[in-house]
Amino acid sequence: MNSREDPLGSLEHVVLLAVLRLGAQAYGMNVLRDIKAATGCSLSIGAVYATLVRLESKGLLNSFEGEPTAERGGRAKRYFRLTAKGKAALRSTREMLRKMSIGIQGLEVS
Amino acid sequence: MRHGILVRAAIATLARLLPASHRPGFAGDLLEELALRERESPAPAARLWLLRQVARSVPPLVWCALARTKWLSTLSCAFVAYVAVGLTEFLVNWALSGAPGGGGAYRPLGMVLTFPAVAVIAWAAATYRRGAPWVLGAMMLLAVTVMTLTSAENLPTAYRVAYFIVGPLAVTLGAALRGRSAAPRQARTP
Repeated sequence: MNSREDPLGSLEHVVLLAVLRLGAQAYGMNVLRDIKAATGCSLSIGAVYATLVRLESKGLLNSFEGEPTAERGGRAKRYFRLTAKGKAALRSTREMLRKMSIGIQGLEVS
Repeated sequence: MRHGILVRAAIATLARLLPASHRPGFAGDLLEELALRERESPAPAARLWLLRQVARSVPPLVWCALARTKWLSTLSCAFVAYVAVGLTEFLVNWALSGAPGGGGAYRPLGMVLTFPAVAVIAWAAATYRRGAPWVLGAMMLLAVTVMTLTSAENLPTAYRVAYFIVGPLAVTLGAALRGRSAAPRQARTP
């Protein structure tokens, strides 16, 4: 992410991190489960998909279809993967947050 | 695992708010999790989870659908469609007011007659802007909510409830019919 691009929103940031954590197993419901397990935050699947679609339209993610299964009513999973631009956006956001956090006191986790 | 028609209809309707390439993945994810929850907990609890997911998914997915369209033209198209719906309702009620027993605000026949007209209006709106029917549905729900809260007329509860269902259902039908007729053309587009 360069200075002319929009910074990541907080949900976009969390979803990108979840996709990165899940690697080859990153599909919508798994992203939802991972965010719930890691943060306790209970999102809706609609919010996750809306974010994934937005990130894909920004070129930060790409997606591909997996194999359909009977358990899913014959529907295939749609897997997501970070693009180079997505990884750069994550690095840039992390760096921005690190710089903004320098010198701040009183927010230590107890 | 087989699920009821209402479950499948709710999921399919929600999925339509996503780009075509993401719809099977979205629907499959919900069915997969529902099947998992039905194995691990009582069926009513699993159904309740699905109901919550569907309800909570509507705002972000409507937003997502609108964001993919051009805002101003979508809103303008929805507004014109809303005026057309209002005009249709007015004409139907005016025509019925002369009929025997047609006086007052309670006109179930008017609702029945308006339903296909609203579906056609939603279909036409979707022809111009894909997101317009969903904005139209939201406008109709808002209008019905305001009228229900402010109206002092003594209408049967079933009639009031029907007002919340019939309009959005007609809009969904119109949008779905438009989507179905446009699907073969989209499939040819790379």
